[in-house]
Amino acid sequence: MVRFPEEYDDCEQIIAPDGSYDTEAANALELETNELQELYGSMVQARALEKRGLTLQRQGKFHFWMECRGLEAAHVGVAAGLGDRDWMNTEWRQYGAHIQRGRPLEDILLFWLRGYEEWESDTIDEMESYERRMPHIVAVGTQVPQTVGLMWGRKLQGYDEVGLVGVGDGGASKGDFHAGLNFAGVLELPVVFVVFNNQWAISTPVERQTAAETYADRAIGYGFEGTLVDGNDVLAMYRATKRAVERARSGEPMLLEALTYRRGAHSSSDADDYRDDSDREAWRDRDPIERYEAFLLDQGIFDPDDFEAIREAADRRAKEAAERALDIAAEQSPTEVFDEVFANPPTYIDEQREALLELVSEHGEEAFRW
Amino acid sequence: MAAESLTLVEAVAEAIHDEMALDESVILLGEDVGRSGGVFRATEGVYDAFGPERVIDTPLSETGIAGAAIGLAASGIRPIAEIQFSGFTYAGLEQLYTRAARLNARSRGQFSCQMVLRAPFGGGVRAPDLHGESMEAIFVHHPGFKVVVPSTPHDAKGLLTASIRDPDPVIFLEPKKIYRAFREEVPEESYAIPIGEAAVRREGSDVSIFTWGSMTRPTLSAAEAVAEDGIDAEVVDLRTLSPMDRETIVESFKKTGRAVVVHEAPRTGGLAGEITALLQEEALFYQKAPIERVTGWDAVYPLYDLEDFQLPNAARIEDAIKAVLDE
Repeated sequence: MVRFPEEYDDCEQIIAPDGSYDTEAANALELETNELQELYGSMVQARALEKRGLTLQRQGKFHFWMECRGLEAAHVGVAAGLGDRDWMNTEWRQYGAHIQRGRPLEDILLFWLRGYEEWESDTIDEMESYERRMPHIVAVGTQVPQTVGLMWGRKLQGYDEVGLVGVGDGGASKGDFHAGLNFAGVLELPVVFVVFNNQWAISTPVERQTAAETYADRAIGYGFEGTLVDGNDVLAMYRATKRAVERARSGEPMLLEALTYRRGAHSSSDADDYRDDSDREAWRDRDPIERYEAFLLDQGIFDPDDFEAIREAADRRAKEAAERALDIAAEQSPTEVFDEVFANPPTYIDEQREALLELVSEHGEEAFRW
Repeated sequence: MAAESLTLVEAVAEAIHDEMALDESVILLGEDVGRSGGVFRATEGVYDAFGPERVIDTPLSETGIAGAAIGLAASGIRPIAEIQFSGFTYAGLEQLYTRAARLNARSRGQFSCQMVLRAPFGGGVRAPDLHGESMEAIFVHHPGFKVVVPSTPHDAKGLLTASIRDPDPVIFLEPKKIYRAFREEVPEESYAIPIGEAAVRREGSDVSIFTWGSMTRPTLSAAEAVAEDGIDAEVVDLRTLSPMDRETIVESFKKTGRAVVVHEAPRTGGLAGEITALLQEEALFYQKAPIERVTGWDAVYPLYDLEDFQLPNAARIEDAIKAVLDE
């Protein structure tokens, strides 16, 4: 059965699905107008990027793509709650989180085109906030204990930094999830765990992942606190994350559950023929962007023309970034196969690289393309 | 150069101690590695010297140990993670395969995974299931790991030192059967033995025997035994299995034209096959006889008294040497 935030007494919310909101709570956030605008821009940009990626995949220009429709508030909200020096490790559909931290769109797209990521800064010290991440994981859940180790290491080196790690409702079934939260509790590490409960792991619904009512309840088993948040309310997500980050900074990890719903397919390879349209419709009525628009309108921060202009600009940026990314990816050479397999490579790596290059020059690159 | 007489397990502890004294970013984590000094005492004295901040008894989870070590490495710490027995590494393999071995590649060198995963490995101590595994081949097969197996106290110290300093993830497999089998003079000061270099333990001209870890000693015994029959065997201890010292292997074979490969791990898919293929590719025309493999059987590791029949022994190795010379 699909779940809704209003079914829970203790699910945190500031803006209701109909756009009405808790004025006192909203004011207490002390967000400047430009900050409130930025949250909107990031969500819209994430959706535009998702749409562009999907189009390019259908055109055969991208091999694979993941969808994030309906999840934008949860992704953007957690990123907004982090400080500039904090860390964020995510799975691969959390575009909005990276956009909110200032990651260039083509950088996000290049991961999909080349399978690896690059950093501008040479050292951790020089990293911009969007660079403070480990590469995307693909084996879901494995990022959880890795983030714990990362923050353990930063703490040992005397840095006052917090790490936020996102995992899905499916990934939270992995042993890694348990190992990570347990280590963090025992070692008192500055980590915020976020379960993005979008209720579907490809075709497996949340009730086949867990018999528990919430993921947030799991926190008690690790000796720290958990809270359930309306994942489609960007302000509630921001507030909960900010609070969790402050708590984590003092050495107490925290678990957040963002209750949301994946309206898009799992990925570009997913027929998405396994669930009721009525659920999707019910969650479309709880759309995170429309809900936030109602808030922004009411606050007089934007008018409808602004929304239209921001959407158009986001579409344009996504299109341009995709073009740039495709151009950059087109420059790949076969020698890259061997790049950075080792930090200190054995000689046979060079031998195999030379062997490949010789074959390519003998047969021509076309002979290798399929 | 001052020297002391150490067992292999004492040499392991000394290397850890020395590197932690030298580099404060080196830490040690694992189950029971702290106060107790490890179930084999391979970390004895380290906790007393460096305290609970740098020597950490973790919760019982190989997934957690491997995953945390990867994150620690990404953060700039140089973790030495102990898995209590190599057979328990299975629980951490997803972390190691999907991340440790690829972090450098997938981040284009931004985050190297400078960590050592140490584990007592191999059989011969009559312990329960999963306490006798020889799983080196699965690590050698995955690009990105370095795999090191010492066979002497001197090498254990020097190779572990090099492993801790190496920027790639190193799987350091300690042959527990010979943890305390013998003592050897080991320099007191710190030294590194380069990863990727084999050691010729016995020079010979008739046959090359390639081996590593706890199999080195029975192989040397067999070489001495056949010497009485006038057979001059060369024994090459590979020491590092990834990257393998191909040059030394091939040069030895070119000299002798005959080879026996000895390992504890099961035969099928084992590294003896890889070494044989290497010799076929690089030195086929030097070959005088079929290459023999002396390995563990393709059996789920037999326990307790049955271990006697699983592990290659000097008698089997002697037979193989004679077989390649009878051709």
